[in-house]
Amino acid sequence: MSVLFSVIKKELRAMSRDVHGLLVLFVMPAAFILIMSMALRDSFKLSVAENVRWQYWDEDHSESSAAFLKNLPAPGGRVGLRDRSDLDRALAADLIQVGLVVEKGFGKALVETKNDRAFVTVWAEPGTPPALIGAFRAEVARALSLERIAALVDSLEDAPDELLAVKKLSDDKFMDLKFRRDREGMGELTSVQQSVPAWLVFAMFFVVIPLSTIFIAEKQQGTLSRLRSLRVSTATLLAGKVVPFYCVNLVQTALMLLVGRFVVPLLGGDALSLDIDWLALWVVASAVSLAAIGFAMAVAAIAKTTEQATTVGGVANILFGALGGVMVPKLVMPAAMQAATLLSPMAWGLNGFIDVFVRGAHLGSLILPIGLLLGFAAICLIVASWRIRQPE
Amino acid sequence: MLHLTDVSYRYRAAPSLAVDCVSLQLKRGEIFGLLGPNGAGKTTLMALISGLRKPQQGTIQRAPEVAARGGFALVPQEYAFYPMLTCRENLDFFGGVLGLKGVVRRSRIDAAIASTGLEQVAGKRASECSGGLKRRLNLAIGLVGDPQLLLLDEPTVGVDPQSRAFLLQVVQTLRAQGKTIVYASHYMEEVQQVGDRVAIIDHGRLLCCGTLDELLTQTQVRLSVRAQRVPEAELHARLVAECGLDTAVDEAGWLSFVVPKGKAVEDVLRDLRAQGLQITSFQYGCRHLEDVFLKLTHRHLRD
Repeated sequence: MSVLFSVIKKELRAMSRDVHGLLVLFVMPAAFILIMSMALRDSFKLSVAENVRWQYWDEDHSESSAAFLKNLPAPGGRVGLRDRSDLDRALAADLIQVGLVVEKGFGKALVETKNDRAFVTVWAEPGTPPALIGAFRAEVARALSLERIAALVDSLEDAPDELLAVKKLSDDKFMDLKFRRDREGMGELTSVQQSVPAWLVFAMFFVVIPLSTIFIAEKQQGTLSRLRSLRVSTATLLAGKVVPFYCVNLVQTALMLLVGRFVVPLLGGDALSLDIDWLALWVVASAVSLAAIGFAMAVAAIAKTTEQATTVGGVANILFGALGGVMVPKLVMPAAMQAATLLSPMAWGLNGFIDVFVRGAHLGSLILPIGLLLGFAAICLIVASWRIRQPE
Repeated sequence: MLHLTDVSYRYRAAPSLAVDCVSLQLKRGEIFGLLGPNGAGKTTLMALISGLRKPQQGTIQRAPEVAARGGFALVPQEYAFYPMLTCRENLDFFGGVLGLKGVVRRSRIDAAIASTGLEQVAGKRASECSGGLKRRLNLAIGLVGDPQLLLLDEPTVGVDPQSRAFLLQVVQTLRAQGKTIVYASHYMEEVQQVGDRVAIIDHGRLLCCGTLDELLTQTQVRLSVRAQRVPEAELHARLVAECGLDTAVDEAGWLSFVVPKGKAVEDVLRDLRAQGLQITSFQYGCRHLEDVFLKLTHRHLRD
C-alpha cells in the first residue's frame, strides 16, 4: 500500500509541475462550455418564434389589426415602422429578420369567407433560418385565426354568451406541456444542460494527452524498467496512474458544474440546474473517468512514441466527440446518426450525464451507460496491462 | 553471490542471440567489469541479471541477500528518473517504492545524497541539473535502497572528465564498503581502472573472463608514442605498409602498437621519425585491455 501511495504522490507532484497540461484540461472545457452554451441557447427554447427580430407596418390602423398584432410574440415589445419604405431598408441592413405588413382593409376582410388578395404579408430576410420563419408564420396564422373567430362572433347578432367567450381564446389554457422526469421540480431544458456534460466528457477523455506523455517518457527514459526491476507490480503501476487522473477528472467535474452554474449566467446564458441526484452524478462521473483513463492507458501502453500517442489519442477523442454528440447535440441528428452515436464511449458517458441533468435520473436507471463505460474501461486496462508486461 | 549458467536470450525477430550461452560467477565485494562495444549484449545481460528479462535458456542463481527486495539495484544508462521532480523528491519516490519509511527512508536518502555529492542540488529539479549531476542522481537512486549488488550500465556516458573521475571514485568507495558491483562499459580505461575482474563480451558471447593481470598477460608488450600532431590516415597506412606497425590512436591521442618480433624499440622509434612523426614522449611496456580485445575479436573496441 505504501508503494502505491508513493507512486500516486509522485504522479500528483509531476502533474502539478505541468501547469500547461493542467490548464488544457480545465480551461479548454470551460471555454467550450461558455461558447457552446451561448451559441446553442436559442436552439433549446421551446418558443423559437420569440427569438425572431421583427417589426411591423400597419396600414389598417384598426382595432382588429391592433388586436392581431398584440397576439404575436414580442418579448422586447412590438415596434412599428415609421414608413413602409423603412421595411425594405431594415431587412436589407439585417436589422430585422421579418417584416410584417398589415394591409388596409384587414379588419373588414377578417369576416369575408373568401379573399382575392392577402391582407397580411410576412417579409423575410433570406439569411433567416427557415425554422424561425416557419415558427413565426405559425404564430401569425394562430393570431389571425383568433382574430377572425373574434370578428365572426362580433358580426353575429344576438350571439349567446358561450359564443362570445370564444373571443377570449388567446387566454385559454386548454393545452399544457410537461416533461416526464425521474425527479420533480427540475427547471426548463437549457443549452447549458447539454454543453456542460458534453464538454465535460470530452475534457475527461483528454487525459489521454498528459497521461500518455508521462507514461511514454517513463518507458523511453528507462524509469519504467527501473521500477519493474524494483518489482513494482503492473497493478500498482496502473493504479498509480488511475487514482491521480481520477482525482483530476473529479476536479474537472466540479469546476465545470461551477462554470455552468455561475459563469454562464454572467454572459447572459441560463444557469445550470443542480437539482439532481448527486450520487448518480458521482457514479456516472466515476464511470466516465475510468473509461477515459483506461483508454488513455491502452493508448500509452501500445504507442511507442509520444507523437504516436498524442496523434492517435487526440484524433480518437475528436472522432469519439463528433460521433458521440459532443460537438453536435444528438437531439438534432437524424435517426441513423443518433443510432451511430452508441459506437462512441463518449456518447455512453454523455447519455448518462444528460439522464442525470435533464431527466433527473437516479442510479437505478443508469445501469446501461455505467455498465458500458465500466466494461470499456476494463477491456482497455486489460489490454494496457498485457502490453506493459511484454518486454520491449 | 550471483551465478549465471549457459544463459541465452534472443529478441523477437532478431537474427542472432543478444546473449549467447553466457556463464559467469560474481564474488562478494568485487567490481566485475563488463567490457564490450555498443551492441555487444551488455545491457541485455544486465536486464537478465536484474530480472527484467527472463533467460530463454540457462539459469541465474542469486544469493538470498541479492534475491531479497532491494537486494540489488539496476542503474540503467538512461537518466531513469523524473525530470520535473527535484533530486530529493526522486530519491524519496524510489525510497517509497522500495518500501522504506520514516527515519530509515530519510537517512538513506541523506546517505545517497552525501555519497554522490548532490548536497548542493538536492532541492533542484532534475531537469535543471547538468549531465554530470544527472549521472550522479541516477547512481544515487540506485544507492537509496542500500543494495548488496549494484548493476551499473554505462554509468559515465556523456559526462565531462571531472564528473567521470568523481563517479569512478564513488564506485571504488562503494567497493570499500563491501558492495558488489557489475560495471558495464565500453570505456576500457574505466574498466581497467576499477575492475577487479573483467569479462569481455562481443556479439552476445563472453570472450574471456579473469582478473586484469590474467587477461593482460595474454597480450604482447606495446609501445605508445605521443606526437606533436595526431597522425593522419595516410601515415597510418604507410606505417603498416613500410614498417609493419599495426597502429591505433586512443582517446588521449596516444599512438599505440606492438613492437614487431626481432626489432629493437630504438629502431622502431627511428622508423617513426623517418616517416615524419615528431615524437614528444613515449611509453614502453604498457599493456591494455584493448590488446586483449583486439586479439580476441580481431577488431578495435571502438570500431
